[in-house]
Amino acid sequence: MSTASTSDTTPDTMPDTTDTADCAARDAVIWNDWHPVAALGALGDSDATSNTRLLGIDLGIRAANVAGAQPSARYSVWRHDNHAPCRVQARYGVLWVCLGEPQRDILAIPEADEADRRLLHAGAFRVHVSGLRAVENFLDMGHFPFVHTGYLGVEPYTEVAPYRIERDEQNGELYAHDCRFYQPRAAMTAGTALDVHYMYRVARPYSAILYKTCPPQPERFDVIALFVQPLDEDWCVAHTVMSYLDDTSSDDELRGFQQTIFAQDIKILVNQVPKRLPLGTGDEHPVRADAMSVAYRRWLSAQQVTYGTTHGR
Amino acid sequence: MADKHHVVESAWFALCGVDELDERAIYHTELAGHELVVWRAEGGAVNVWENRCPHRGVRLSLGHHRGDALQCQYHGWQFGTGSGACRFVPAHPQAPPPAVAVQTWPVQVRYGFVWTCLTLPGELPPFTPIEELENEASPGAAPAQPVRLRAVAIDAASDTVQHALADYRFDYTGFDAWQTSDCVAFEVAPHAVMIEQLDEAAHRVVFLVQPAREGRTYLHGIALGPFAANQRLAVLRHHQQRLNALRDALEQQSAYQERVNRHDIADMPQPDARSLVRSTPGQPAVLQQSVSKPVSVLSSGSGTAVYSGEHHEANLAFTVHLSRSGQTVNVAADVTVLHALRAHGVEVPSSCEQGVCGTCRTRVLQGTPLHLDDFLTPPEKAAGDCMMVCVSRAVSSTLTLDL
Repeated sequence: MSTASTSDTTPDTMPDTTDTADCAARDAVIWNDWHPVAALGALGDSDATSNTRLLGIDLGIRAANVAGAQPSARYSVWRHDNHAPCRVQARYGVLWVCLGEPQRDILAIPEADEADRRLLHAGAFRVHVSGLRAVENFLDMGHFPFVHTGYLGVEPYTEVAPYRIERDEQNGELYAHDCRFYQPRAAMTAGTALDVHYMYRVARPYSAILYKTCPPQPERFDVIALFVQPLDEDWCVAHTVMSYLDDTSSDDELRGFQQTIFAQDIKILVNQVPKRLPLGTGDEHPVRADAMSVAYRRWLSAQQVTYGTTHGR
Repeated sequence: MADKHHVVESAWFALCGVDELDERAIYHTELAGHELVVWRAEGGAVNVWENRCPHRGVRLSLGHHRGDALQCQYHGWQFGTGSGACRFVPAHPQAPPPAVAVQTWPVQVRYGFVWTCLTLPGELPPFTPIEELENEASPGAAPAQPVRLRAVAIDAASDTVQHALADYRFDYTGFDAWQTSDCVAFEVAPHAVMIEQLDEAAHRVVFLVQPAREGRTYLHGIALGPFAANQRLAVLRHHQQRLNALRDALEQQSAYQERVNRHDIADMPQPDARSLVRSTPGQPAVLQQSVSKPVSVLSSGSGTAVYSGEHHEANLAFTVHLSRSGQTVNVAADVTVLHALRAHGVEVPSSCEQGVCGTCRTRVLQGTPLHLDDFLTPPEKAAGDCMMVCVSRAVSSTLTLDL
């Protein structure tokens, strides 16, 4: 980690264009993508500076209290290694940074703009595992009865019913449709057990979204997004952002529920060997329930993503 | 996974006391950079396995003891004692388990310890008995019961630890931690050192060295009797003190060594002689054993059909030509290509046998496959030049495969 002090490191106006990270050459998709670096709520608003890391690069963040400025203009982010300023956007409750040349915008979540929804950053969890493993775990239902016992699943309801994979070639995204699972307590608002309906969407290598049956309004979905910040290939911060229709539970209750669930996941994630995601066939042994995991790994391979993988093909 | 490439000497190493496995305990340890999980089935069989579920890589030591199987904490997969073969996948309770197994290692239980050797079965060296411990194990001699010392973890290479044992001293007269009596050290086996006091009592202690990983060693000890019942605790404590002192000295020394190496690598002698294991990068000496488990033909076929939806061709018979061997194999309705091939002695590597993992991907030279898998992408399926022989079938009446 860089030891550069933040107080005297003012963002330079001239970016240094020499990129030492070999990520740039090797992994254009990742390097040129937007990645989350902080929860907006955690940054404060009065010239507070903080430090973080993205793709192996140490970054400084400053929130400035500029009256009337656009949200994105209130934040500046710079690299500690060459003092170059970074592209910044504020969206969905998190601050996004692109270290390379952005080829496309931050992923779109149209539901987040619906007036009757609440947006909530439910926590940033630092985990010693490749961010791709964290995304794959997010796409997995089979572990519910064993890892989230009594919440998202319970024995003997362990069967993963067939679901449908859709590859959206137009947008380069991946979906799992018709996912169903029996859950004793699916959410804060679920007083009784219910058979939930899920749809998973992988929008970016490090970002996935879960659309989940909303107990108060069964025809609509709660939206839970997992935005993973790859600190480096073996460490990540998982940002969970929820766009909820629930208007009875408090933010703290909703946050507490998500934190309980994620804490259960962390115990598994830090015990995965190797820490990086294997992409070659034969490294790990999926079954039908893992169709989404297999599709995700193949989707990463097809984009030549190697960052956070074992480089297997 | 660089640690997999260490070439460990082909020898038996003690891992833990068998009583560590009482009450369904699941013990995890390391040997030459391999993470291991050790457990005893209810029937008494002791298992030494790679501490990793083959499904998604989660450490099995997090899991649960299920009598004659170990259950992974992540998805509840169960692996049976002995073979380590998967016997139940809760996500598919009705389906036959996939032909997947945990990597298992050979086991010996001797002198109250579990031993293993990281070698393939064909190359297994004989167990070298340690005579001094054989005698102690003689039944009926209750006062001769040895005292097993608590294992000590030392952050130093195993060779360094073993050499340092030559200077190990102990003294039961008065159990003074700092008094030394003359002792002599013997190598009683390749990784076992016996220290004997040079007085009439000739007390002896045997140490078993376990190279855990580079720069880390576990040391097991057995103080040989006879001891009076009220003496045993004092013996245990006495050695604990001496071992802690040994550990502190060695760790100080290796920390110093590390500092020196970091600052001036060129002038320092390479610590080859002290390295824990001889390493040959890029040459894995320990090979994964491929495990193929017979799976019922009928049940596997029907499980797939349910998953893949309604295809009226799905249950038709067809013929497969093998371009390399010139063989012709008839695939009956309700029999998979994989099983038909296997029945004719043609083995195609497979794992899930559910059309998901991609292991059995086979090139199609002629004919049109009927894709029933979840592995290939739509463009790959449309190209029609390969298929998953575990579930996919044929639209045409014949297929020619590159086998």
